Amino acid sequence: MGFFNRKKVNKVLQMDLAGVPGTTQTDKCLLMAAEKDVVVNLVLGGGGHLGGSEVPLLTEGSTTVKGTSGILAYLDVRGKGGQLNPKKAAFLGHQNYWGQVAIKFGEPAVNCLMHEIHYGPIMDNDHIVNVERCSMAEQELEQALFELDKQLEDKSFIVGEYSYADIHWTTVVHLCELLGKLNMIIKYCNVERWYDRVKARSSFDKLPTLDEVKQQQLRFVA
Amino acid sequence: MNDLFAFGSAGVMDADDRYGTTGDMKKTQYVMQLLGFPGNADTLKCLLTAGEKGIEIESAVLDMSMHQQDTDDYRHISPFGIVPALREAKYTVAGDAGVMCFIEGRGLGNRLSPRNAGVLAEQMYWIDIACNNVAPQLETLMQERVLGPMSAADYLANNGAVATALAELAAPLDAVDGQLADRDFIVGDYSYADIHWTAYIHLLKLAGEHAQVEERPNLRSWFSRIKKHKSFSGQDLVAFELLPTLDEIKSKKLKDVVCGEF
Repeated sequence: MGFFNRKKVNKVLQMDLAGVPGTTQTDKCLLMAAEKDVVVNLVLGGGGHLGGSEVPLLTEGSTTVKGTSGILAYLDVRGKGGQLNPKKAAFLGHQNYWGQVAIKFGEPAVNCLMHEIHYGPIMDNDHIVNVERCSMAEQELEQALFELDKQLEDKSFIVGEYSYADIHWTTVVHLCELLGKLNMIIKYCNVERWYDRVKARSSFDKLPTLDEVKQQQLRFVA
Repeated sequence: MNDLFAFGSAGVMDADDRYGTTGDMKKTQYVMQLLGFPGNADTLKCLLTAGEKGIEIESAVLDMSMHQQDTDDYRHISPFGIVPALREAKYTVAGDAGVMCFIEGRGLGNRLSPRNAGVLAEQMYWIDIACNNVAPQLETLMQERVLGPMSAADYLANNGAVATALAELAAPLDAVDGQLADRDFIVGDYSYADIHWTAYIHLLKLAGEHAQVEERPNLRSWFSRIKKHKSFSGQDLVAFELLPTLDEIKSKKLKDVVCGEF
């Protein structure tokens, strides 16, 4: 084979991901890996702490990547296909804005509800659901979904084409579904239609079911 | 409803909806408008990015010391109250993540994010450390030492909160000092990680904590380099000079970004 005839070897990348499925931080990594055709071997457990929260850890050979945003960027570059960042500055700006809204408002709310309703009872037999915390979390989610619904008017995905923004919000809305809060989603017809579109993508199958989340959490705690 | 972006030359469109009274575009592309606060790290990151990428900006103050980010006028622009907000013609975006990458996309020169996947991930990690581990403590220090006294002459600082914030800052500052042991910039070449950390370290010093930087030799050397770092896009500009002094924060003044020659 001549020097100029070399073809890129089409091999499937395999990596190890340490994380806790059923948290937005880990679920986003699973979703991105699936979008980019990267096979991840999920190892239960966090990769350490960042700002007081447990974060996932990705390993490929001698390379270690810590934290969700680093892992998403790494998978996007290393995986198949073009990068998920929009090329136009205007769409890129809005993608990052909606990612920030998901991280600051959507994720804390849904992670709080997951803790109160599912993880708390697993970790502590005497756990009592904090109703006030749950109520505040639901209000945050309502506001976020209301604004997201407006953004999704006349669009297939959050900034037009599928992007990081959809990855962030898919995990938020997916956990709403696991929490039995689909009624919050179907109130917003644009969000509901968008969620049907992301569920039709093959990557969505890599997100954990509620049973898998509960079983993993039991193993994580044990 | 008041339009908070109705200021400066960029606020006036001509009959054809173009910038400026004559519709002329400057050689550095459009003049953008930034609504932010001089004591807000995210605002400073956007000014730094504009300086590095040769984008001119007309700034106006959103008075966070009086919670203007919670007013209906601002929530009309940024529904979640995320600061700062940027406008270019009919396009608006809020938050440092959105504003910085929009400025970069419209700006000059090479991209700030590394191309290599591993180095890119490392950049994101150090940004996470800055935003998750340093930012909350900085907000406490700024509130107790600068913004609180600005809003009330008899403001009493919460010394317990300050002590906790300083204790929490030790680990991330030690970590970045270690990272800079054999590098000019945080991930080797100048990147977004340096912009984030520049904003926080600058405010840390303005909040009276010079020792936190001076006692860490690699961090101190890096900051000295940052203060002389010429614009990434080759403009005759040092982006660090766009950052406010303590007096400018107290008098609520935000600089414009004016790009000179190459």
